[in-house]
Amino acid sequence: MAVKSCTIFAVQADGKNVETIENVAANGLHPLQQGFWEKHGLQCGYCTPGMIMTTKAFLEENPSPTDDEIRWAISGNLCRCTGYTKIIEAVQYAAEKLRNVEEKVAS
Amino acid sequence: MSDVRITTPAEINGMGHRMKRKEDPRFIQGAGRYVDDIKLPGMLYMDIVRSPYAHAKILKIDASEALKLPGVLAVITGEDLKKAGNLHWMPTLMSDTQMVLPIEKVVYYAQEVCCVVATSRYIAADAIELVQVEYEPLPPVMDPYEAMKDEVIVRDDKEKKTNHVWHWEAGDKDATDRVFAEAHKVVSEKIYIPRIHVSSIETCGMVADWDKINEHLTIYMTSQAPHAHRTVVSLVSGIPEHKIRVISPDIGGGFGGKVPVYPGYVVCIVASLVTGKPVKWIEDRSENLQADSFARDYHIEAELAADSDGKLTGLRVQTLADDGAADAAANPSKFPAGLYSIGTGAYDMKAAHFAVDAVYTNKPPGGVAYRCSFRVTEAVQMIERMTDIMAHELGEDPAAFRLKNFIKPEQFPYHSPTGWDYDSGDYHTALKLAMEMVGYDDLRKEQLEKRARGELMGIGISSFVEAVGAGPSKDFDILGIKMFDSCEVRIHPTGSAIMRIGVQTQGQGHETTFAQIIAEELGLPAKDITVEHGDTDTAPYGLGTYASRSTPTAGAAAAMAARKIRAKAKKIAAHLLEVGEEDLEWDVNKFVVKGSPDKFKTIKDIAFAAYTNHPQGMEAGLEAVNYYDPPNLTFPFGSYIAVVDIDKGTGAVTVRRFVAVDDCGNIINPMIVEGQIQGGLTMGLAPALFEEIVYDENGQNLSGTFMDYLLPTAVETPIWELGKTITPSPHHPIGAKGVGESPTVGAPPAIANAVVDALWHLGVRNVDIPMTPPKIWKILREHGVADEG
Repeated sequence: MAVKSCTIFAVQADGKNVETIENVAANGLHPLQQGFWEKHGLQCGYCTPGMIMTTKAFLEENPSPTDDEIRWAISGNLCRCTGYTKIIEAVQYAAEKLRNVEEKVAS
Repeated sequence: MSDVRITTPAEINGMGHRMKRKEDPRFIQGAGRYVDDIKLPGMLYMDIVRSPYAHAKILKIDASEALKLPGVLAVITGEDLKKAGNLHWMPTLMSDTQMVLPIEKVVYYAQEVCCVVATSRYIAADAIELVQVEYEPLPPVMDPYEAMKDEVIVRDDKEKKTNHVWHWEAGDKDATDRVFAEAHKVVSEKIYIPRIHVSSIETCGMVADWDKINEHLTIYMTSQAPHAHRTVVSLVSGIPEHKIRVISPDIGGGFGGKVPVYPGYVVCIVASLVTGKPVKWIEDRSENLQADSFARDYHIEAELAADSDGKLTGLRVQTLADDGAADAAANPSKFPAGLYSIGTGAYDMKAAHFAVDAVYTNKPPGGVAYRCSFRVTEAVQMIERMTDIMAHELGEDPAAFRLKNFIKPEQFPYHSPTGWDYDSGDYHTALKLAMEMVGYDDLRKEQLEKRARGELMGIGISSFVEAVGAGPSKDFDILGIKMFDSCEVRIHPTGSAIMRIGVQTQGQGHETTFAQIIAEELGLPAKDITVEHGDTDTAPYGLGTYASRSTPTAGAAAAMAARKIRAKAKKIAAHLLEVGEEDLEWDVNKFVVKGSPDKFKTIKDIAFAAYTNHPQGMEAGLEAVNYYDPPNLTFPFGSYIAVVDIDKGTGAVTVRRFVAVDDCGNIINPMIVEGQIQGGLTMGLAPALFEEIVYDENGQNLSGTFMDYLLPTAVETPIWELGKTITPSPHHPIGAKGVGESPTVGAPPAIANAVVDALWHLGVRNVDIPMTPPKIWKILREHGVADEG
């Protein structure tokens, strides 16, 4: 579940596992971080941690989204720089990478 | 021409390469460092008490309860600032004055009244609730036409008791009147371009750190123009400029909103001076939206004339500019209405005249840009709406009408009737490409079929011309400081480099694109070039980043500095190869002996020699500085076509297609240019359909939250279909023109024209932006076509 840190009290997170942009990847970059870099999914960078954490939770629920589903998934996150187009491309890039990892694990 | 020119291999990543951004690793890993990330030992926090009235006398400020709250260290009022050396007023960038903190009265809703300094952000927020301010409400004047009557005076601090701020004209009035007297057809229209707000995702803020012992002030500030701000701080505070260091760290979007100096900044500095501790001030969202500078707010009356062949002949424009409570725009000082007189746009006409009057009202001050080069958006909205009205009135297709009236490619450089010298352009090719991409003829057929069925579909064109890159020092200055910009390049012995620039990125990707310019010029890999900016102690003086000026000014400075380095490198290469300079030619990253391709020295060889084996009598080292004073502005352009469908049941406008053909001259990084255009188009969609700052008759801001001021989300944003032509600027060293603002300037009239095109057959001539569902539904109802079932 992706949440906005300013709307959650610390006590509500008691016993939960908190992931942030700083620990989103165990080693190197998470596919979403790669996607945002590769596809120019950020400009000023201010909304980027929120976009990445939101779409990480989203892709865990919906690993093969349509562009339109991605648009709805990030509709609670405002970006003033990119016009969202390249964010959607970044998420699709990550979705494909994550699916490939899944397939490899399965086989 | 539409192919991006690439002359360097991928490992060098010069111009034209889609190089991934060098700044991104920190942003995607949560390591961006914005002002609010700055935490200094012993840091205090400031919060601001704001006015609940748009116009009121201040009878009393009682801070005693606030001061009793543990952790509150100081409450700073206008009286305190006055005692500290008349700091309760400050100059604006337009040489007007603006209150820092008021003593006698407040002049806009959410105006800063006094400030609380406390040991924590929470205590500061609690304490502002405890400050008791007694007001005597005065009638506010919110309508600029009412303000012109001078019945309520906003600025009674001024000698002249009038709300009129300035009158400005451009063009030849008599010649224009003659053209109108002879015209075959004249169309006129009133167009209002409402007040909007940039709403960068990061609000404004500062950490001010006064070092008592060394008498040195360090300021971390959300600044698009750190050097200019350092000079202003020095002039206002009296602290010598070398004792002030302004650091503009990572900036979460600017769009013009981080050019002005806001009262909060000044008080934050005073708070640090008073307490001797670092003080942080960060606006919350509503403060940002309610009190920071706005854009637009132009009430336009325009007339356009044509001859019997349907050729445009003249343009006559009167405008009332609502400046709010101070003229705190960030225009070049000779241009109180900015570059508004660029409004003859892409069309060749004989004469034009512009007259603009500015007035004070009880609204927050400003007139700053919203991702726009000094009022060009207002000009483009006006001329593109007027051109469309003329085409429709004459019964001509809006595309064919534009093609007939465009300035022709062979007319460049083109001298406009209001005195601008357009550097280069090919407007016909751009529009024809946009028409081809969108399938214009088929869409017109579809529109006719739908209209026969009672469906509302519109096609709108905007063929805009931008004027960016301010600017030539003969005409352009802010507070007297000429609008050159700068770059310093230093090549290290092992062939990597550092460059520093006088402009400041807020997401535009300067750390990548400026390195690519040097890579192009010197053949050093862009990845090996560090780009620094935003620190006044290290970067050369420059006027900052806004108005799409970074590439036209500092980008040119970077190329010129690199060329100085290349000239010196040639001397060193001649020395190393024991040939004359005239025997050498440059090839991507090396000097080669003409006719002997195996005899060469690479730039890396030369850099090493510059420190280890330089010719006797020559200075060692390999570095250069350039302060670039552009000879002219650059004039990017484009043609946009929007296709809209209107829901007759709700009045909602859906942008079904949007084709954008842009021409920004030579392209440094196509990926970044695409990002700038997609983002800019979304900031053009926003005022066209959603955004407007609205006040009630008492001056209350009715759009002070994101529940009321609607930024587009990914859901409302259409798929942008991009195309390009490339017409280099003939006077810019790398032929580039600037791109960040073109789409924001060009998009709104395309959408507005599409909506009016859908409704023209009903008798609708104009719909002011934002074209919200209630506004459109009302129009549909008036014309008897709304679905009310």
